[in-house]
Amino acid sequence: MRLLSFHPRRIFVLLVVLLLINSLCVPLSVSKWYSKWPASLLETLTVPFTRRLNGASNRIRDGFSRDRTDAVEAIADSQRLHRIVLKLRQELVEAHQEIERLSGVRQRFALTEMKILAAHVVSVGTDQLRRTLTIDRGALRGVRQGHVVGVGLDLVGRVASTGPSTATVQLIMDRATDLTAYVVSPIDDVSQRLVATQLRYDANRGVFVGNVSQSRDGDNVRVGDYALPADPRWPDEARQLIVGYVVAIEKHEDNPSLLRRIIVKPQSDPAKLTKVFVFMPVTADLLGEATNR
Amino acid sequence: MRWPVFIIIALTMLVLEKGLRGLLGIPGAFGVSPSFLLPLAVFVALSTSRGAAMWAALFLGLLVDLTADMPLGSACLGYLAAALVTFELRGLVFRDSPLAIALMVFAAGIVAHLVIVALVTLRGAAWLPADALVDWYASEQFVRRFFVVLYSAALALPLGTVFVWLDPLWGFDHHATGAHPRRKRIT
Repeated sequence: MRLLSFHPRRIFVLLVVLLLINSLCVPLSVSKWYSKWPASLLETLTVPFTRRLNGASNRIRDGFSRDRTDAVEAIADSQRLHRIVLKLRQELVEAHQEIERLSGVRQRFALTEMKILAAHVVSVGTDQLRRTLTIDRGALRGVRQGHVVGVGLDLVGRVASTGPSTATVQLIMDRATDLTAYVVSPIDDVSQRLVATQLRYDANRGVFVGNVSQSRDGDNVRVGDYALPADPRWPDEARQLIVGYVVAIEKHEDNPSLLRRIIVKPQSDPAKLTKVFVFMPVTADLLGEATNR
Repeated sequence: MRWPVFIIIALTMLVLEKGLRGLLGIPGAFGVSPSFLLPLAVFVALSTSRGAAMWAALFLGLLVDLTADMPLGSACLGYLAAALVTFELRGLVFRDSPLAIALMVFAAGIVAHLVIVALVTLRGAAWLPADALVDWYASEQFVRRFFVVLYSAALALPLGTVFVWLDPLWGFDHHATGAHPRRKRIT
């Protein structure tokens, strides 16, 4: 009889054993079935308060995270805009430089009937025997074979072939180049010197080399003079662009008493070009195209 | 100990635990949120007699089992183990120090969760008739529950202060005998 008496400790031990059996041996569905009623009672007691508290805490958390997100986004936007402004400023400066350069080119050409098309360099050819570069403007934009390509006042080459949206430019910095040129005094030089020569490109030194007569032209060529193309095989618009500047005048090793060798260094490095200009003379079809636009 | 006070506070802690989960919970792979019931179990085990502490732990464990998607009994036994550990260690600490409560919550919480994870993992043993819980990985549970215990211990600092402040309401034995609870080491 004493065993069946309800002593709190015995009840406690019995409860612990039952809980142990329940937690280890009873399937979850059975356990859920008989814990359903106390669970629902507990839920009834607590859910009204829990729901309100949960709503309040979610509101606090959402408000906090929204404020924080807004602030973070605002900072990110500000930084992004700042970067854009800086980039635009740089582009503006570059655009001003391009405008000045192109204005100079136009004045120098004194040709108003000239369309200048800006093009980006897509790739530079690796063939050392035939140096070329590819630009992202082609026949669809009016680029034709033979058009002169320059950068600023410097002559870069001539369009060798065109695709619909690209064109290949044959560079003047090429072993095959054999260019008739005038070596002229700079604009600020009042001496107005002009010497004709034949320039060949020395790929090893990266310069143009030409010969002038020691007796006739020896004094008419100075370091700092610049060379302009005067080749009848080149279009007229190329003649005001600069091939390069005289950087040295050397004695001719074969005939030092009669000849001098002039070294003309091109200003632009084709490997570093990113943008060039195609000089397109306005022909009848281009004029018609412009009128249609 | 006044049981109605304990039950009201226990239900309040349960409401706070469930209700503030959205605010206090740390979102992430484990979704850690603190336990309000564990500090209460530890505080009661620190303050009252052995029998009352065991019954209180069983009751708090039952609340956890009924509100969580767990087999009935695992949290009961876990909290019981926690209360036993706290009862055995309570001679080493001052019961009215929130820091002591926090440290005990950490120690007891580790034991409680070890027991819970062990029991639920054992359910999956082939020689037992119970079914294993789906998506239950003991290692993952250990990691998550460790952070729960850590968070609960941190929470026990302010919560312990409140419990100690509410000391006259509880009607613990040392109060009835007239002993001042301040810096009283219970043996």
